[in-house]
Amino acid sequence: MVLKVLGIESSCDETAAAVSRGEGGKREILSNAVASSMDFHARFGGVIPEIASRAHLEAFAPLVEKALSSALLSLSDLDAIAVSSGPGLAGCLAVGTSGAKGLALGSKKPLFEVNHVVAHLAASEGEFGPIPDGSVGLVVSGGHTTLFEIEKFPGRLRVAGSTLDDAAGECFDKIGRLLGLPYPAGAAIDALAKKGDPFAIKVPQGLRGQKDRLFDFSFSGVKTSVARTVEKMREEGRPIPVEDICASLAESVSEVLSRKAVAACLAFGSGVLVVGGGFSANSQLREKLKAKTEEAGIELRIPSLSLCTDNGAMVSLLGLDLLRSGASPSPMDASIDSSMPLDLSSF
Amino acid sequence: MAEEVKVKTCGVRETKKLGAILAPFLSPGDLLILRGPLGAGKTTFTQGLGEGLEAERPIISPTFTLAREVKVKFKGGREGLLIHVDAWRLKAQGGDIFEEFEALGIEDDFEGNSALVVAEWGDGVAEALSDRILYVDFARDPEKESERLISFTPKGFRALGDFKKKAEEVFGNSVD
Repeated sequence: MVLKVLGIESSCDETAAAVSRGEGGKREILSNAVASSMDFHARFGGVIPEIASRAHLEAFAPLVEKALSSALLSLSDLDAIAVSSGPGLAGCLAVGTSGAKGLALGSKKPLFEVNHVVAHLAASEGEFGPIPDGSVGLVVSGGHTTLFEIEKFPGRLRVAGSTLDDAAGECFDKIGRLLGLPYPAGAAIDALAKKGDPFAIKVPQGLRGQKDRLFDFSFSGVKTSVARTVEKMREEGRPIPVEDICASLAESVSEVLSRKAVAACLAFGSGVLVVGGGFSANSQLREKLKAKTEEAGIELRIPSLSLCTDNGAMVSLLGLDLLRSGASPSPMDASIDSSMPLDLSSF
Repeated sequence: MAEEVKVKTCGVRETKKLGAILAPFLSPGDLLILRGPLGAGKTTFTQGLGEGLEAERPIISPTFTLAREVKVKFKGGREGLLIHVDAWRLKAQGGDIFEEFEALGIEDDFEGNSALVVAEWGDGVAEALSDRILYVDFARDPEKESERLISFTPKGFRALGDFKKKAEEVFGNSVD
């Protein structure tokens, strides 16, 4: 049976709506509309919740219309509506979930409230098809760095490890601030890193080889080490080798992420690594993941850049999975959860 | 007025431990403002506070969401919240912390006086939250990689009782 689901995303600064279609093991993204309030936030070096909430409110209705019209569908053609209800910023999530509830009530369609981080994994399904049982998942972004053992997607996943302090993207943003780069710093560091020497500066790899923390991450030491290097150079009046610093930082962070993700695949006997989240757009990480999974004989499923950052397609794809698995729709009084846990209990 | 306390710690473990030592001296309604450069130990110190207050989940960086709430137990077993704030963006923006708390959905918890607020980069914006402020300053030693000088400066804060004594027992005499 062909099923079509509208997905809505508003957990941080992107408002997004998309329609995906599923039939058996086939998945197709019919439309994927995104509006970002990032231009406002860039001035302040980060997302301002109040500004983001207002931007979501203004963008919501036009984006839903755009997603539906690009897919050549109307609300009545849908089989369900899915929306991210956490984790994220409470005021932002409230806009998306309230809007989605309104649409679901008005059109009498079932509503699925989904976990934003788990949806990042579902993004890969738009290009690779359903996630096989027994895969390993890595979600890496400005707010999350988590490894999942996937028994059966999306109902049975377990957090195998996560960051103990900063997320990988956050570490880049903070160092970017120190180096005077624009926010968010991911793209700028990526570009500069390509011109630098990745081994010019010693950057520690948090929790590398620590046996009781095999699948956890720590980027706080990375940040401290780079900050110290930069401060020392400034004190000594030396020019800051920004390209070398970015290259060394990218080398360290991408090495530890890909090393631990592949180690998790080997430990759990998994042949597929699914990657998602805004930081997986980082080219150094993509290269390292590709090399290390090839070497280990693991299939890498990392989506195109537009599906790595926050988007509605990932939410609609996760909604499709839930609908197909016979999961019960969310009650209309379900509430958002800004710090929603990531373990299997989330469904 | 309570006196200033200065402590030298060496390494992440000691900075965390200092947080745990301070924990039993804190109550809901208190405001801690942590100041210091990137990577000076502000989040590490807060993780120690979390351990000392038996936080129900680990403390991680609040930067992305601006604030994170975690359930804790204050001295005497009283349950409450630790609201961990990264105020850097508010400072850059000159924003109103009450408005942001409202947008984040945590204003009620704070106004119910059941929460301890720990604000990183909070000076100049977080002061509006409480009359009982403890400034905690973190300084790195340019010569010694893992050493931190951590100073506690109370403002309208009650006396910290045996905190100075306890910290000195563990870390030696404070430097003046």
